[in-house]
Amino acid sequence: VNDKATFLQGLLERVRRNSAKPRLPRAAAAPPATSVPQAAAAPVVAAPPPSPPAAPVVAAPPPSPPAAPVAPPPQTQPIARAQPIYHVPATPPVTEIAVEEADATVEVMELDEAEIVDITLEDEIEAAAAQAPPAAVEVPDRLAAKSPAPVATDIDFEDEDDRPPSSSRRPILAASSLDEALAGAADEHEVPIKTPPPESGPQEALPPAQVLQQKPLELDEPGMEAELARSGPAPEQVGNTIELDEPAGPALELDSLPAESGPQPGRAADALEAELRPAPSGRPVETAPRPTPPIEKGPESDAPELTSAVVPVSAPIPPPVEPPRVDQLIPPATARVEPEITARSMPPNDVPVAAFASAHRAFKPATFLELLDASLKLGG
Amino acid sequence: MAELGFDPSQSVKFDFARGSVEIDGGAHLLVPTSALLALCRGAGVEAQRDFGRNLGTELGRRVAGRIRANEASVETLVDHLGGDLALMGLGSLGIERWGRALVLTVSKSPLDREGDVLVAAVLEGALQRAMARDATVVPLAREDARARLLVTSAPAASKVRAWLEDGVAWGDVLARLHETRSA
Repeated sequence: VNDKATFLQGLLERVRRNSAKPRLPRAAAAPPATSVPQAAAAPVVAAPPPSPPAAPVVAAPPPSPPAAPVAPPPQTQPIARAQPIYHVPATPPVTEIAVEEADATVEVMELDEAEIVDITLEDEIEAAAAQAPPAAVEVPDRLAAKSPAPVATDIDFEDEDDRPPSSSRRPILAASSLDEALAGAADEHEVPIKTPPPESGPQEALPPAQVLQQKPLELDEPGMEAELARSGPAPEQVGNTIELDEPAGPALELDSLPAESGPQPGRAADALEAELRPAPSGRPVETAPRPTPPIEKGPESDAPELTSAVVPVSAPIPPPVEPPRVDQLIPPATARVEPEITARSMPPNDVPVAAFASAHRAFKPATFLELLDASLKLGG
Repeated sequence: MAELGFDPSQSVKFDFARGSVEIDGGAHLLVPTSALLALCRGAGVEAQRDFGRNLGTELGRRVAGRIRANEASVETLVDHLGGDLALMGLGSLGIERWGRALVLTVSKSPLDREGDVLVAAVLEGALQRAMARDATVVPLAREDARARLLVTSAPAASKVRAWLEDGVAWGDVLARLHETRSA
């Protein structure tokens, strides 16, 4: 509450200071088109007097209690004596015009209805100016009025009018229209086309303006292929290219594939087959193996063999290591693999199962002694 | 008398100061298996049977002291008899009933195949002491770590040994025992 009272006190002092300054007539700064003839402005001056409620509001900083009205300090003067300034809200493009209250010396006169002129119509105003008698009330040049709308008491902060609000971050463009503003922004490349997100969010980088202004490439256009071929790949496409040295070693020629890796027409086919076990039932088994039909030589065998490629190398090549043979990696196919059979310990089939089973089902010993006695009687 | 399960707690006591091992108050020895087998090989079959029956008699005495063996069920007697056999370290006991024949199984005996005769004699002495029956235990067969021992009478045991020596399968031996009874 004290801070607020202090702030209001400072505000009051500021108002007094501004009111004591010599004030330039605002009508002179206003464009001539908006100035109102003095004769026409005379009735407006007789507008209702300013409402006094601003005075107690400004001059009453009650420290405590806040709601109770406190009498103004003795040095405080009413705003009416200091000739307060009344602002009339202006509508663009007409700038606002300040109207000062008439001096106390100006006597209030009652006007007839014939003398009241509606200033909203310009032609009527001009006509009234031509027909009206000399102004009965002298109005200073700096006084002007635009409309009879009710005016409100306001505090004039001249030093803060031209400054942008603190929340604004955009520069004020001195352009008269939106098109001019956009054109200027495109030329200077200072104002982003798209409003960037806040600092906390992801920043989206826009492509350069040159890229945006370029015309999209069309492959159908004549000469485009030649242009692409001439320009070659872009540096981004090439990357870090490393230039290789010229081959210093001898040119090596790859030998043809080893004979073991490919099909061998001359090799006996029965060497790759596993022997089959004879059938246990004694059924005669064909012992003579069927001869493997020879590989027929197709027409593609007459085709020339693949030519070896010459690979230049710059470093000496170590002596070739012989790859392991296929028969070293895979066990020979002739090795026998027999299943491991675990037989159940069941009585043989020649046991009289019927007598054994009937005795097993019929006998149910209740105690161990009964079972022991039954077992002792067997074979006796 | 309720049939209680075998409780091995506090069964074996080691008195390190006196240098003694007791099982249910009786002094015992911890003998290496290899040494015992060497002794059995040198002593002969009859000496092994006598030695085994003596061990079995002590075993049957402990069983009879805990339960009424004559009234015990098969499961109860296997529990107590097998518990004492396990305390001696002779393996795990089981029972199979093939018809009317009683077959005891001993698994994972440290004496292995060479100790089948000794284990059979131990069981003979235990049954004789606990059940008051003259029973003969004949080794039938062995499968890996499990031995099958037939409990029969002395006359039938002679026949079984003869059949087994003739190469008759142990299943056929059991069947023949039943044929003889029915005939």
